[in-house]
Amino acid sequence: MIALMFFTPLNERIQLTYRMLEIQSYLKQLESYLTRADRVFEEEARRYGCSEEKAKKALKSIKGFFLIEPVSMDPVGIIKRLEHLLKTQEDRVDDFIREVAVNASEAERSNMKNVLAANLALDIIYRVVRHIFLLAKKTKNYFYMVQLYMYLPEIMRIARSYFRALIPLKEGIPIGDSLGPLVAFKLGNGSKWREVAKNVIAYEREASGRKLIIIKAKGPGGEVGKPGDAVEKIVKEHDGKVKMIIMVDAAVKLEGERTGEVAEGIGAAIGDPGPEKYKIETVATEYGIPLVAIVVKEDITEAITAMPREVAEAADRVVERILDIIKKKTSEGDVVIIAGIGNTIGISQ
Amino acid sequence: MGEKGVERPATPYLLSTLVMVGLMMVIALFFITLAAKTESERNIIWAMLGFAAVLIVMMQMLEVVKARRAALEERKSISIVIECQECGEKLVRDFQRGDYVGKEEKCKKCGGKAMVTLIYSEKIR
Repeated sequence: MIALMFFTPLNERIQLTYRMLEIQSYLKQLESYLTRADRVFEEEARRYGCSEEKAKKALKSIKGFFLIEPVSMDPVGIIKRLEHLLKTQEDRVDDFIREVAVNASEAERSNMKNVLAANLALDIIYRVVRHIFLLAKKTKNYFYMVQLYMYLPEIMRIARSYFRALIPLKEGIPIGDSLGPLVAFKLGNGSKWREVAKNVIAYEREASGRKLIIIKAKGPGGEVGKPGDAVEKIVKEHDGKVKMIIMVDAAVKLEGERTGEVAEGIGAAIGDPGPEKYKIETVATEYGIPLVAIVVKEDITEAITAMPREVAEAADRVVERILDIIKKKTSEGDVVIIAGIGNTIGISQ
Repeated sequence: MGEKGVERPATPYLLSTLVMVGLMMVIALFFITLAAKTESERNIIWAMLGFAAVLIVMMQMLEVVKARRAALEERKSISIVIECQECGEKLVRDFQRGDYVGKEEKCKKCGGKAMVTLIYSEKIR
């Protein structure tokens, strides 16, 4: 019996069957997340004047929506090409939401866009896990199954985060990623503001004799805007005479780090696919402006679900730190740009 | 406001318990029919099998309890802070759809201009 177990593939087969049963139950859980996400989207569409049938049909038509990244064999102009593709994707999604949520306001449409993004993320996770599972089953390959099994806890954590994000995104509750806009709001609230780029606003105020230009995405809908365009425009408006650019964002913490921990560094603190970060780095380099990054640590679930109290309270500490940096590193009459990066859901101006 | 619609994670433990117990039964039956020669040897194998099965079931039940407790701990409430800009009164209440940071409200104490300054989530204790 022992020989049979150890020296034949029987042992492997038993383990394969056992792991397959476990993965299958996780797959069912992923499927239930997706079904619930579909229901949330359809309910929202109905709330804004779409019929149930139309909402179902529309959602089915956008499932599996993809973006083909630009060719990187010749990297010249890749950022421009990527930006063009991202803009086309954004326009397509905007049109889709406008068709589905006919009676929704601008902010509500932005929130629905976020709900759709979470839905599509869950959809792709489910499809990939199902693909590896079925492939392992078809080829009876133990190693496919083991690899999937090893990654499943992390995959499930990400899927669960997207699933839990649905309600806050639907109801317009600030998420962990809204830290940057919250800091910008706290700094700029009460000052005059204007729209400087697509879905990005800028406040202007004075602090300790310095001119502060504070930018954030236009809320309270779930927007991230184009902060790269805004920073570029403001720097050029001042002929490059900007003393410092301070960027505030939420950052994924390492296990063991405390949620709400504030850290300071150098560089463009922005997690976009590339174009916005590129524009900020380029304009800062062109005019020799120092880039200061301030981040607040949180995990992936906290970043996309309702903002935890620890993160919300960290916003006040970030404001103090920014004012302290400005006092120490700049002089009276200097111009400083402060960019609150992130999704501004649930935060107006 | 609780996070409505957040599903408790389904646990694969019950299914895996059944598989493990089933496998043990097959192995034990194999030993009983082929290896055990006397009645007392068979009884010992049955007793060991029973003990192991109880242990496995208890372990897996513990996992189920742990998973449910973790799901309960994940329940959160969403609160908003409203600050009066005239009398400085601070009020904390549950979030309602349509609330956002920067939303203007009337102060319940002095009737002056108040504003939502914070929205955050907290674990329900």
